[in-house]
Amino acid sequence: MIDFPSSTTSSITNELIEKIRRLISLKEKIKIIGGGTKERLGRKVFGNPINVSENRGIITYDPAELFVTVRSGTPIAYLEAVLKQHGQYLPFEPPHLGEQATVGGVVACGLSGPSRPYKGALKDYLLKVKIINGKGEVLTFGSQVIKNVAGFDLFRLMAGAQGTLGIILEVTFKVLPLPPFSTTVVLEKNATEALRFLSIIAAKYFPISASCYYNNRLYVRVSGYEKPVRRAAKAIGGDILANDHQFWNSVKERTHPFFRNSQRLWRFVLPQAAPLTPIEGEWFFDWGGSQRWWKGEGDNREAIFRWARDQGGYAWYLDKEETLASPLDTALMRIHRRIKEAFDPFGLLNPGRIYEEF
Amino acid sequence: MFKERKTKNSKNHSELIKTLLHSLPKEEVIHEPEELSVYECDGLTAFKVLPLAVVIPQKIAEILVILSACKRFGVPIVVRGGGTGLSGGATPVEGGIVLSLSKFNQILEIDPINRIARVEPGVTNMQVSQAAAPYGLYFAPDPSSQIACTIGGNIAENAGGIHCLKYGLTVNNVLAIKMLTVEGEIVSIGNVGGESPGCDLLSLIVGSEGMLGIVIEATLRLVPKPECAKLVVGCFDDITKASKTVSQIIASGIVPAGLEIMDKLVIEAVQFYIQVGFPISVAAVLLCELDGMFEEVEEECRLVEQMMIQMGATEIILSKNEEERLLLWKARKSAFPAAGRISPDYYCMDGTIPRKSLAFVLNRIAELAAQYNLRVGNVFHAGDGNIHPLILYDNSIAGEKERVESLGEKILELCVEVGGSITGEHGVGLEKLGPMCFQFSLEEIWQFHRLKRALDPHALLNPGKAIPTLHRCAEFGKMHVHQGQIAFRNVERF
Repeated sequence: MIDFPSSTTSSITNELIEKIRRLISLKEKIKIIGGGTKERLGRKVFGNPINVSENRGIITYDPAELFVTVRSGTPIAYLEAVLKQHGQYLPFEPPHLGEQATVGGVVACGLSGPSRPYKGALKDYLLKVKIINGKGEVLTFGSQVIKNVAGFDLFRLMAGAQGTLGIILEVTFKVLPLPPFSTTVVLEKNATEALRFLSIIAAKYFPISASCYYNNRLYVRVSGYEKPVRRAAKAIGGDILANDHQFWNSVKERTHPFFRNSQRLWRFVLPQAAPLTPIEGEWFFDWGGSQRWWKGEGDNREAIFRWARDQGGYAWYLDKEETLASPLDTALMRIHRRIKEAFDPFGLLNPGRIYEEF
Repeated sequence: MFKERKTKNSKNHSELIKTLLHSLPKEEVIHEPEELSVYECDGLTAFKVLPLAVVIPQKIAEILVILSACKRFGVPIVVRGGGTGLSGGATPVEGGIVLSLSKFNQILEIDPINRIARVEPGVTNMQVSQAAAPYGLYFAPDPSSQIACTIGGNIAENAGGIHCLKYGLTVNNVLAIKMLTVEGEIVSIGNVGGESPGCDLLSLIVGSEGMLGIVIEATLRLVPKPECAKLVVGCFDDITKASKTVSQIIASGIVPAGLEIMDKLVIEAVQFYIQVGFPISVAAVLLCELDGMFEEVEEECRLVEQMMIQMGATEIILSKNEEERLLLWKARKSAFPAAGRISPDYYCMDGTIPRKSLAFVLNRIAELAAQYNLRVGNVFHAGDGNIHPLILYDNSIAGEKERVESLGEKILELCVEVGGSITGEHGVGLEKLGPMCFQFSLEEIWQFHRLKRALDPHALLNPGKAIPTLHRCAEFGKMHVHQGQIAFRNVERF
């Protein structure tokens, strides 16, 4: 167990809770703000700003037990730096999307990086979340242990709920040791060949930790012990990519040249081997082909959402300022609204952030 | 008044059975008491309730008929898969029916390109891996009942198994489901690609013990088989040393496929049952399975062996080939039947604790066992801190069962005290309603109830399971009383 000079004390958390409770008692709508780096990832929210970024600091970090508990306003970059000092990391490689990014924002947006199809998503590493719900109740769900099936998994429900169900106060992640060795190979392939090739190598027991495709090049990263990694890299083929850390960081942070001038951007999440999208333009595939980016407006948004649905997946349209997600069907929307009511009966927390309806 | 209500209920019951018999093929409705007794409990045999009827539909349309009839007559439904659950999740509810999904047993698709299996809920866990085997793939969660337990049940209970330390629980291996809501609509939840818009309903439904909807189809992630697997077994003269080795292995960065401990009592029982050749005087064995690519398995075997020796292992057995590996696992897998041979009855507990507390908790359990004058054997998933104390007893001795239950609760309370959970993989069901009050505050339990009501407003789906009533928590003596004040005085207690 490692002791941290607390950068804040729990009194900051208590002040935050009191502030939130005051707004709730006045039935005032609340717009939750952390580092302010993820505004674009949802719809615009109008409400009294509540800034959680002062609620920061690592509460418990026990490297031998592979878990860390942090306050929601802790900068994700700081957390990752501390983990790195102890040879550990967050295996879902969360995109920060800005220096000020907080742990709470990353969890609320449910963000996972390039390793997602191979190492799991943020929700797979979430062990415990402490929230304040729309009634002003402070609730903790989950536990520091990996195996815990007591009660509904309401902590996982917070991942990606964008603050609509509760304001995140504290988060516990499962962490893992950094892989001792990593290398990336680059292969010349067109998009169709790349998708097929990814399926073939994914069915073998190779320690692949990321893969993406752009402009007739397929990039595959392998991580683990040096010997098996070298053998796997050789079997996959291609040339070794220099500075691969920088490359994957640009993929994770969406700073790769593809994302330049991407004021209008489509994001698709599809089965890995889903066919190529029938729209021309510049494409970038991540997550072994599951996450696909396309730069462009798309003349007919409805048709694009429908196409994604027909492939067994979903789409998100990001314009300069906000994101619109694939529409939900009536029954699913009703479930969402009822769940929202169960957590936030007065509809005060980040209202309309994901969909207008809740 | 009570009598009136009862008459009304029994009238509704006979009307419901009439409706079911009228709208479903005769062989799909069981309502004769002698036939119903097969369904009176699941793997937790201590709780038995005779259901009003059992329905075994073959089509979705029939489930819809059943749902609407139950809604009309206010009769609760308990969905049942293989009936192997250990916490009473599928125990019938008084005055309710059992909906068996055993006829929904088709594997709809194995897609080796996307590495997924699309299956109906009544398919057994083992059948999925068997169907995927020709492609070098398998479904990772492997609960010990995998021959008989169904995917629907795995989803309801978020089942684990020996290999979930490395490969995750059911929640980490289900990609999408189709679910019938209590309103009778079919909703698609999740996405093979890994992310859906809106809230993560998939993670909410997995592990919800059949209380939020009826899963009628699941898309599962398949993973490639490792190049090789090896088992390193360390024998120790002290269980504390074995426990500390567990922490050390995990802290070193190795993630074994399985990391299990058996204590002296269990080893002796197993040796009596099957010959594996553990040293006679051994107090604990630690089984560490390593899998992956050849080079990494070789490297990790070496490291684990070194750590075991450093921590004082008296002997190390390394599986030389596949037969040896399977034989050593057989010893571990025979632990429960073996316990059944040395004691007329046993009660298998299921709690999770931080690994660093293993030695402390095991010693404390031994002390408690002595106090209660009961024998407790330990065989468990040490790598993820999921303990399974086996309390041995004789049901024919008056009062012994009550003593066992009381000891069991003490053990679970201990798990929560050290920062763990009252259930690692068996679920809450009926069995752990009381201990839920240790782990959660009243406000948290109330939040669970509100969520249940959001998806099942009339409490038709497996009511009374998994989440204790606040009344029960009050009775359990675990009201969060702070300076003489009961939290949330105004909260309704039922």
